[in-house]
Amino acid sequence: MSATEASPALPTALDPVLLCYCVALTVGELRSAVRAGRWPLPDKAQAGKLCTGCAGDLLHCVRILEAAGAAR
Amino acid sequence: MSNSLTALLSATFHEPGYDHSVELVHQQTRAGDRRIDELRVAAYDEAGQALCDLAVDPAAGVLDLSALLRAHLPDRRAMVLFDVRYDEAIFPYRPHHYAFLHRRGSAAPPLYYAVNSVLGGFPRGLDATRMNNFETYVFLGRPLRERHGLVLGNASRFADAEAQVIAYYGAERITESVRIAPKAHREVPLAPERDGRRLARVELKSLFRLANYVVGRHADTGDLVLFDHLFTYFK
Repeated sequence: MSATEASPALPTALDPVLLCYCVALTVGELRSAVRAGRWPLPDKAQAGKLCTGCAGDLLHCVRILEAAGAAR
Repeated sequence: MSNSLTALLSATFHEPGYDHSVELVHQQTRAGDRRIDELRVAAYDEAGQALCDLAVDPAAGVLDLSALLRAHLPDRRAMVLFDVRYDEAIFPYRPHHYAFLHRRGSAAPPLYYAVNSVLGGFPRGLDATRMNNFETYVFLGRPLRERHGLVLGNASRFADAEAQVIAYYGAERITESVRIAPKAHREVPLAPERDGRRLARVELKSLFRLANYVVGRHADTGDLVLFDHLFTYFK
């Protein structure tokens, strides 16, 4: 199991959590995109930029997932 | 809850002793055909500890929040989150919630306000046209027997919120920095005057949108006489 699949700070149990309500981005979709080196996804590039309410969560998750990916 | 429908999370604050009724769909049609598909109501104490998380009938129309939460709330204010799913084809923008708030037994008139939307509410494909994490409230020039403050809540799941509350007294401004943990909330009191100058306006700046209301409490009774959202004047 890769680090991005099982980062202790962001367990896969959180994958169904809706991270960005405006573009319907889940934690699981973000995890998959970061793991594949495809973040930001073309259809989710506005994540965190519309209502802005999720911007803190999005930055938090991207940092964890990118750090976990770099450590692999 | 479904992630295939459009999602919106709105927030308010509930205090013991108040009747609090929430219109789930404010901009209803004559035919009454605008409906939300799913609704969960969750409440959190000041430290962000969950008090309840309830599935609620989305066809409730007007939700008696005081009755719904009575068994779950402590004797202090709670942040209440409304997590809804809806079909964006039947709403022109988003399903705004509005609410009535009135202290039981108080002679003060009830307050009617728009519930803050905190997460979601922008139709897909529509760009944001204004900042919503830099907001302002302008106070009346004449003195009132009120104590003012900002009630701020962080609806995020993981991230602390850092915010600045800037109060203006004439040309002078007083800045207070606050840090709020996920799901926590706090009230930032605003001094009514400074060096003889009255509180003129307040600004709220944060990295991301917070649940925010400006509140006024009667100087003698403490009853809420103002409960309103801030506004964005800078585009």
